[in-house]
Amino acid sequence: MDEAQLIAEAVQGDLNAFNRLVMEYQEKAFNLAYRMLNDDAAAEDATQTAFISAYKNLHSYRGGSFRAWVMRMVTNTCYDELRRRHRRPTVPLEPLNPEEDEEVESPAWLADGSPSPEEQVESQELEKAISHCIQGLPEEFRAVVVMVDVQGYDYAEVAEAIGKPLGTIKSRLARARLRLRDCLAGFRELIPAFFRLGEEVIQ
Amino acid sequence: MTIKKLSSKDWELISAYLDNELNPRDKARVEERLKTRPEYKEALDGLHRTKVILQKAPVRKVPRNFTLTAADVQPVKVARWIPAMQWSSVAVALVAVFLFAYQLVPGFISPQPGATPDLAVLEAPMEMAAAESTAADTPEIIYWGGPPLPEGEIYGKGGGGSGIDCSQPGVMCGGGAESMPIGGGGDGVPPLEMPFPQPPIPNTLPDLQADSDARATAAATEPVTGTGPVLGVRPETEQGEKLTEPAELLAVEREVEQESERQTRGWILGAAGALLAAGIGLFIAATIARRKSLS
Repeated sequence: MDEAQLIAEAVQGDLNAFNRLVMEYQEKAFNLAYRMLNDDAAAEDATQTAFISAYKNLHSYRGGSFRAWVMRMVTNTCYDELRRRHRRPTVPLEPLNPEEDEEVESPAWLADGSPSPEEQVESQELEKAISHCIQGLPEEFRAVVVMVDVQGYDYAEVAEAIGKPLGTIKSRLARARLRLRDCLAGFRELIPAFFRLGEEVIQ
Repeated sequence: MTIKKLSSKDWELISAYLDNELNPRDKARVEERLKTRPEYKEALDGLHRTKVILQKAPVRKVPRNFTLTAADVQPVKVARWIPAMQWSSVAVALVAVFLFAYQLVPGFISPQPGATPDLAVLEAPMEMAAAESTAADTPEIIYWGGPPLPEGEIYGKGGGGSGIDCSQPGVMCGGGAESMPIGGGGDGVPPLEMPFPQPPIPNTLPDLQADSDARATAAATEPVTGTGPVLGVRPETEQGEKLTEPAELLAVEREVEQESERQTRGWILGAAGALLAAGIGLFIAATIARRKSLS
């Protein structure tokens, strides 16, 4: 069954049809929420809330990219959560790394304390570096750079999802990339393989 | 080092070029600059490396399925009293605003209390008269029917009679009791005689003339006594008294009225403020209750 038919049935109130669309987009929705909120539990809540909101507002879907429309629900839910955090700041229950005297960004400490393979370590370092740098961006830049560079959307879809003009998307993306470039440069020694990879691609 | 020379517009062009999101004209322009300006190449390399690293970001697996159940999408029922509370708060706030406007905005629906146009029109000449009377000598007011006063102190005498023979042609008399010169000037002014002959007045009311003469004679011989509304006749004890400083009395009365109006106005404004506060409080409470019921 194609997407358009599923959407049409979902608009008629068919919850099963909508759930098939949820299965299709939940990973991207959850990853976008995670990159914006940098917290698994909050991302989970935001994703669930966004899908409920999407189902209740299906009548407002006017065609176009359904993926962008769903991502718009996710980004709006994340912005609401970020605003709520600003109003009621909380202290995260994460351990402090005594050596670096800074918070451990990855929640991997919860899962397993045993040593991991080298790739996994590098992947974790990369994850840590990216999360750290993305969280350093202004909130309105995060969704743009995650959707374009991490998830591979084109500018038009991002503009639709964010609800901003194309020029704004271009401008935000350029500034976000510039900041990320400077931030990631600080992790060059931790993730040399990925920097080498980037240089090879350029050459 | 030279990369710092790039403007934000340059960075936008390079970033969009990286994603192949430029129109052909801008794309050609960027490609031309990439050949001639090393800072362009350096900037493009830096952004490209960043993009490649971000593309390698690990994808997180979803912790669970986010499929919805019927319970998740069940419409939430809002208690009936919540909308009623919200509307009533709006009504209360509107009443408060109306009261404020009524008290504070001149000419809102009706003129301000205590300053009706009629009263204002009436007060204006009174105030002017009061000002004039205080500026000049305060006029004396004499009760009618009082004991005879020496000549020269009487002003007007209310058109009262005198020792003048009113039946003479050219002489005008009032209905008073005491003798005084015509014209109310006192000081023994001679009787005014009309410089031209008066046309004879037809004596169509002989009885009335006779009655008037009789009453004038009686008034001249008997002092007016008793109380009653007739022509403001006062008791004997008050006869001949002078009412002094009428302007001050008026001012005092006006001040009392204004004070009373101020108090009333204060009460109304206070009540309006309390209503407004109550309306806002109701609305906030209703909104919180609504949010709680929806969450």
